[in-house]
Amino acid sequence: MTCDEAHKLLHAYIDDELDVATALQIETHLPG
Amino acid sequence: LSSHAAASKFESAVLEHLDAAHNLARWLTKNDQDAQDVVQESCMNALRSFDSFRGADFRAWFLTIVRNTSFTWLRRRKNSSGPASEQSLEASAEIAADCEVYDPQAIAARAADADLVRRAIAALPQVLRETLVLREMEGLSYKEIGKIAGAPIGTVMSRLARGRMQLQALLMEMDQPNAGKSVQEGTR
Repeated sequence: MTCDEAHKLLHAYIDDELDVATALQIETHLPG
Repeated sequence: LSSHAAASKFESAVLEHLDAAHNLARWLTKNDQDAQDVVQESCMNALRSFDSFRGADFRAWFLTIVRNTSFTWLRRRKNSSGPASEQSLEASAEIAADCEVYDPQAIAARAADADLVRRAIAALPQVLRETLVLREMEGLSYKEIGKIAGAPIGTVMSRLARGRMQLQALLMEMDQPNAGKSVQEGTR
């Protein structure tokens, strides 16, 4: 997943609307 | 089911979601009286087709009817703007009633904030407004919103993201007195 793709899914991630696998992929793009 | 049992089942299902129906209709028509008429018409439409309802999610089914009835209503009326000042007064009274401590300054500040948010939401494009209302006010899932709006989940995601960003931009713009004045004048 690219940063752009992750950025597009950020709202869904915050809303807890993503499946676990996608949510984990997003988390790799977030600063630790 | 007998007709009496079906009517009773319908009544209890509708009553549970009447507030959500009215809220959605009010944000789509931008007018409280129109919203009441839309909800009444939606209830009649829903009752007529209740026999054909086979799904498990009554709320999504009913709100789809409310949404469609709102759009039909808007097309008929061709005038979606309502008496904003009257609504603002009613809203201010509600806020005052909600305040636990009687503090005129706090009540005025809360009323001003609520009015600002209301005007900003009303200024959003219809597809973004309905998505935001269904998510933030009614707490529907992306899947339910997709069903109601007839849109894929990816579209719901992007509408929600765009809606939130536009709302933020509008709030910032309207919070500045001069910009706020120009927006207010533009909606008259």
